[in-house]
Amino acid sequence: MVPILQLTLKLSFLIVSFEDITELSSELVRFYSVKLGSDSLCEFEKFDALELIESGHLEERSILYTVLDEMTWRGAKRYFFKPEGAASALPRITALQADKNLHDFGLRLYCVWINENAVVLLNGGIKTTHNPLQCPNVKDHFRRALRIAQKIDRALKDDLIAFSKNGVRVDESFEFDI
Amino acid sequence: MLLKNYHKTLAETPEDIKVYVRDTMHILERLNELLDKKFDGKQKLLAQKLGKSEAEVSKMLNGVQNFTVRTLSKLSAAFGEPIIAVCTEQDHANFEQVKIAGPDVRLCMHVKQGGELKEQNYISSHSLSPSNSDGKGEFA
Repeated sequence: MVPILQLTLKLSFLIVSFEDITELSSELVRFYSVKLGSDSLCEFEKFDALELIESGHLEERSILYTVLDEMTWRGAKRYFFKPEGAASALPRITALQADKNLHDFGLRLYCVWINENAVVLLNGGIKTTHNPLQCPNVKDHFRRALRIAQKIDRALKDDLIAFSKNGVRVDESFEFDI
Repeated sequence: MLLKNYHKTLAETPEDIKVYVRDTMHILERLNELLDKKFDGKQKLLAQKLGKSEAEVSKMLNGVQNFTVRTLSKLSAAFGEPIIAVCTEQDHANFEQVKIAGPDVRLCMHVKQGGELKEQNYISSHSLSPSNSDGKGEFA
């Protein structure tokens, strides 16, 4: 993984740095994640490290990672993502699991869809309530995804950051609090 | 980056799950392609054509519901174009168009009734542009 040092945001006193997930990226799609403050792991690394036990959840992770792998050559089409306010979630393909998750709403990975060539993967977990804000597993990840998505969206509109095949271009003045 | 589960999971994912995801994403791409082409990308117009609510149509188009043959038939009739093609070795096959998609190349074949090859184009998936100047390749 190659850290991208150009882009830092102050997010509630947390410095957020963006990182390029080279293991997942292709010529067509670049996947990014974020590192919060002095964390040693980025958000997607934390998600990846989740210990899943139930076979249904393990199968969901298989589906989710296969979707990510497929997007490397299909492009990150908007309709592959589930809209979650300003943020997005994966997997959207849930039909196979619909009858198996009897006790929860399944695995969620929150992310920020930038365009068909750039996606920021964040963190998530097993969603246990219909409303993510009421779920102890995902509420913090969901809130954080919304805030990061809103800030990125504003910065894109103000032309302070831009995502391209070469990575993230960041205006030197780009630094703010929320 | 420390992604031990990502690589392990992909390596251990059963083939039927990979095929399920691939086929579902193929169908999602085709449905959204036809929605753009036939209904200007508007689910509301498709819902009106099908006599269903927008919420029901949304579920049909985003992978939340399993695609049954009946659902695909209804959608195909509403779009006026085929959504899926079935592989067969039968001589009476009548595919107007078959697209074979993969990580490196997409092969689009137009086949006449009886299986006679009419035309084929190779398209690079990465560049999203024709692999040669006229966009056509040789049949191997």
